[in-house]
Amino acid sequence: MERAAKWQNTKADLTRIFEANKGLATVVRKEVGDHLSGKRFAILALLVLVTCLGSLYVAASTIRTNVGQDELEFVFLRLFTTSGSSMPFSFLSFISFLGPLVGLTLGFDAINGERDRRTLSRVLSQPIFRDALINGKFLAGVIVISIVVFGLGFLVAGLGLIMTGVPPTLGELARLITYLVLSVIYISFWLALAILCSLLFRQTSTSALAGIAIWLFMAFFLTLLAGMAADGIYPVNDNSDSQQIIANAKTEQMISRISPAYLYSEAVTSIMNPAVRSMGPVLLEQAYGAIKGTLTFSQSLLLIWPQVVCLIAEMLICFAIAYISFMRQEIRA
Amino acid sequence: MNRGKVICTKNCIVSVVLVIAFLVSFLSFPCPAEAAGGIVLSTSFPGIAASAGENITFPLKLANNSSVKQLVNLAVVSKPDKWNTTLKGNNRIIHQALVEANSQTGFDLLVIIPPEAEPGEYSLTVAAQNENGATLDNLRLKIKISDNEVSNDQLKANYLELQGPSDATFTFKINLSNNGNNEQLYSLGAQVEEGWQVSFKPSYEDQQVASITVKPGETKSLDVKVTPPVNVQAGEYVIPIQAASNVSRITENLKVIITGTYKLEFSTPSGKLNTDIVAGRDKKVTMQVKNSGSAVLNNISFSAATPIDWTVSFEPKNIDSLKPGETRQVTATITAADKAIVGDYIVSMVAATPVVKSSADMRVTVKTSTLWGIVGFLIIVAVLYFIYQAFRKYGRR
Repeated sequence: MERAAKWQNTKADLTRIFEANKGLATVVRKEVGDHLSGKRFAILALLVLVTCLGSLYVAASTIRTNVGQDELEFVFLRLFTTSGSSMPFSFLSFISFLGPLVGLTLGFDAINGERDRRTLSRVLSQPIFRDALINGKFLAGVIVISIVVFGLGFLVAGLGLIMTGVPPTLGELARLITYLVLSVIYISFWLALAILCSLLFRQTSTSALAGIAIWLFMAFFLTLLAGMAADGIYPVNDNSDSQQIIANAKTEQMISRISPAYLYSEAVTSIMNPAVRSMGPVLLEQAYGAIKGTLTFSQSLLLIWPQVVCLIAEMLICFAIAYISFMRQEIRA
Repeated sequence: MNRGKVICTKNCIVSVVLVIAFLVSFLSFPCPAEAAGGIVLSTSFPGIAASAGENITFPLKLANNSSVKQLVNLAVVSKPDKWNTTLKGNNRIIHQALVEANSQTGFDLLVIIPPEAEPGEYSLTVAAQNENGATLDNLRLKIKISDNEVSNDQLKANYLELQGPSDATFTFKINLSNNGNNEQLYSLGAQVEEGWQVSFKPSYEDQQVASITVKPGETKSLDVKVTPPVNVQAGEYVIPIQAASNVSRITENLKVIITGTYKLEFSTPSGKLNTDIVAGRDKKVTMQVKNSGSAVLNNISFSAATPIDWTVSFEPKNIDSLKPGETRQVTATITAADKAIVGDYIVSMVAATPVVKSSADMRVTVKTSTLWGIVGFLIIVAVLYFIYQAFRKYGRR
């Protein structure tokens, strides 16, 4: 009886949540349209497109000159991971560098921009709830990010296929799709963070700056700080024993993993390179008897699973905080 | 009277002597009368021993002791059935000889003894006759055929017994001597069980031969190559070889001692040498030992060279004895270290006896436990529940 009552409650709640998002489709459609037609997005998309095509060209020419020199397994994946001497960035590094910028650009003025234009109260006077507005803005961002990421990914894959002529295996395709999904999740995290900033700061320039500051800290300074902190806790010099060195390395890694940028780079390098067997320090006793080989897709996925879980959770929590703070805000003032 | 008696006595003695002389001349003169021509047929060794199937040559002499030259017909007047004889002079078949006065001439009698001749004594008679067919002289020749004199040829091996492993080829050196008077063609052969191969070749030559000619008094050296069958068991094997000519059949028993070979094969029944394992767990792998040698293997024990902190245990721990050709299955339980990283490792398993050992390198792919995957999934579910609660609490404003 109690369980049935509980289920009735849940059902009622779900219906209420569903009804609260009645105008969601309209909001999403309008927001996606705004993004895609906006100049801001066009500039950013062009930048990303040009750099990605540049990295593809370098990767393809490097692969072609290296043919026969070393064993070229997973040529298809190398299109995304290879960098050349003239351009020291691969597709992977460009996406991890420019992706957060895309996310921040799409979200930094989501709410306070509406406020500035005094359109927020007008929108909410329409028969739509606040839920639909914030959910719709986030979903529209995610859709745009997906279009960009998947579009670029498959563009590069297709052009690479023409340039190298090596078709991907099923495992390689699965790895590529996993990589693209991970990129969407990662960029969506920055989108959620930007929306949160746009709620916390009234000025759009302040929220943009705050987003970029967090991104710079996460992407560049946290790893430096992690190294300093690890050296502080476990000082290492030339005479240190192996346990001390391992403790130092592990501490540095654990602190670095606070950053979603670090988690993302760990995850994508592992999923795009089947030869990666372990992240973090490997002891000699673990390596003894091990032979060179590659992992299957499922094993690689299991290897990066903690990172994947963390990225998804961070994105969802970031969005949830933005949602709650938006719901509790005074709008009409 | 006395004188008359004496004279009479003297006459009587003379006449008796004459009579006796006459009588004696009658008794003894027929022979000198036959040899009146002075023809004598002779040979140094009229009696010899021979073996059945052999060809014998008697050197004969014909002497003319008279003072006139004589024409003599020569013929073999008696001989055993089925024996063939030929008279030869100056390498031609002859039936007449012309002998100068007080001189002699030589010719040969070739006797071909049939192979089926029974042991015993045989005789032949050669006659010298004048043109009228009257016998001038006879010569009786005796040939003795006996069993133990069938052959004095020899087939002798330098080493009668050779020893080696089952996959070896044994080469015997044998000498074939023809101690007879004539050149012989010996056909060579061996009586072997199925699977054995025996081949003959003259020493220092490459060509295999089935027969060989040996001149009288000569010795030929032969290599006899014996190849045992592939699946031969350890033990002693007698290989009778023989050389047969049309006069003799000589045999020699060669002996090959096969010592056992010790060979051990260690693998999986299917030959597949890779497996999966989850870090920290164990995995049972069925292995197989096979005795592919020809000797019994005793006390086979198992061990493994593993990555650090891995263990491999075998059930049964060891095998007391394994007959040639026999296989036995062993279950190996591989336990991976907790800290083993994902990917491939090599676990080298060894089956060893005091004599031989064989190893099997197993490629073990370590997989991650899906437990943490489920934990991660639960974390995401918890976060989604949190969002649901947020929607429920703050929704519809």
